[in-house]
Amino acid sequence: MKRVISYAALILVLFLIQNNIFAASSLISTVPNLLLILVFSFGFIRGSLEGMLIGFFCGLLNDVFFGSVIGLSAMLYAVLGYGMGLLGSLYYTDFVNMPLILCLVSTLLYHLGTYLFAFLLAGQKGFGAYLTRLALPELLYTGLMTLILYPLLRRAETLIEKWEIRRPKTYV
Amino acid sequence: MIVQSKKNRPRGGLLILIGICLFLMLLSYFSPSFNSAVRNGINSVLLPMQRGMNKAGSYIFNRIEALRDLQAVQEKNKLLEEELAELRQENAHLKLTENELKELRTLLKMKEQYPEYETLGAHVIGKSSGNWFQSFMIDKGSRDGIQLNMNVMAGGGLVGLVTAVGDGYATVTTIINSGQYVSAMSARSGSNCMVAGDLTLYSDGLLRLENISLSSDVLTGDKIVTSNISDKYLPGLLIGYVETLETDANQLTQTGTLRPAADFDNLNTVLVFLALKETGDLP
Repeated sequence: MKRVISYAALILVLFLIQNNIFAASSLISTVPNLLLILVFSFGFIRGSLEGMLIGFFCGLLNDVFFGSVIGLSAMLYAVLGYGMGLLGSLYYTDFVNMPLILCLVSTLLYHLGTYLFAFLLAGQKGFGAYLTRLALPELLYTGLMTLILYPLLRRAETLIEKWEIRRPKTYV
Repeated sequence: MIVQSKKNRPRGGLLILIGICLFLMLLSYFSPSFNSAVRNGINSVLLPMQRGMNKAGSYIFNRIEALRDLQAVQEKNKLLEEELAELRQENAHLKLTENELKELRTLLKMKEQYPEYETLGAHVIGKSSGNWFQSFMIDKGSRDGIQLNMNVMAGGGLVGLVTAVGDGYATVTTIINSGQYVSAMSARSGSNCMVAGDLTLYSDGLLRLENISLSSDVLTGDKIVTSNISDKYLPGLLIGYVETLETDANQLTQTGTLRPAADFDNLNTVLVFLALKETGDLP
């Protein structure tokens, strides 16, 4: 239960930072995708189940406020979280550049997925422009934020773990 | 490293989630009322928070923009300071010019005092060292009509004599020089005397007055001007005022001191009288 509350709080805080603090700025035209960082980080650290669930709720939040249809980002985030969980079970987690690789893979997959579905649903074209105008700048900013956020999230994870262990026998 | 169990790969769970998502997508795509209902529901919960965060975000980024503006302002400030320095310099220059103007105006007044002589203003461009100038250089020479032995005045009083002339410059030897004698007279009575430079009086800013016959009418405070009998100085030029008088040991003459009318400490512009004293000598 404590874990669920922590995750909810994390999702909410990052969502608000991403979409309200950063978006309020006229200086930053491209907003780093903090929720994506959250999804791949926790998917990678905690495994597929939690990655999938966090992804689902992050995506849902995103869809409700900014999506054209509800459920698209939720699905993409959930799949990403699940995939990152699989990756996490295969590789050593403390590899220094791992977060950046995760960020790269996640962002590209996310945008590819968004593009595919947007294409399917609305008949959108121009993949090149989509890639260079939207995906690549976002990748850059998200990558930069990953360097800051990933260590913080790891620390948050250990804190959550400690908090949880203080009163045992409570699992998600 | 975190060890993960097989249980942590809920393939079925993922499929269910994807199913839910697809369902939601279709539902929101085909049913706008559902779409808006969900959005409104979640919105009503999160909107206050979003407003707050938005305010915070605006505040932070406004501050950042303000900082950026500050940089621009600082740059502008730098430019303005440079301009200020330039203006200050210009101002100083203008002040100097103003002082010069004042001096020139005094000279002009003087010129009106001596209307019978043609005069020429000149700048002092070089001075011999020492508190008082013993001789100095002016920026006018033979090209401007200056000749040897022309009289030079400044600040209303006699300064000296042109002792050397170049093409574009002239050297003026001042009357405070030791060994310089000016034949003078009291403007009030016309009694003759001699004005001489004196090394000991020089530091007090005074000139020596000598050869005043005991019988002649010279009093303290008298205006002393160049005399008619002088061979180099034009008659009637103001030299200064009698400061002290005392009778010499020989009981025949008086000696005294004279305070010059010209300010020898601050000579910047002078007036040269272009006329030469007619001595009757053949050229």
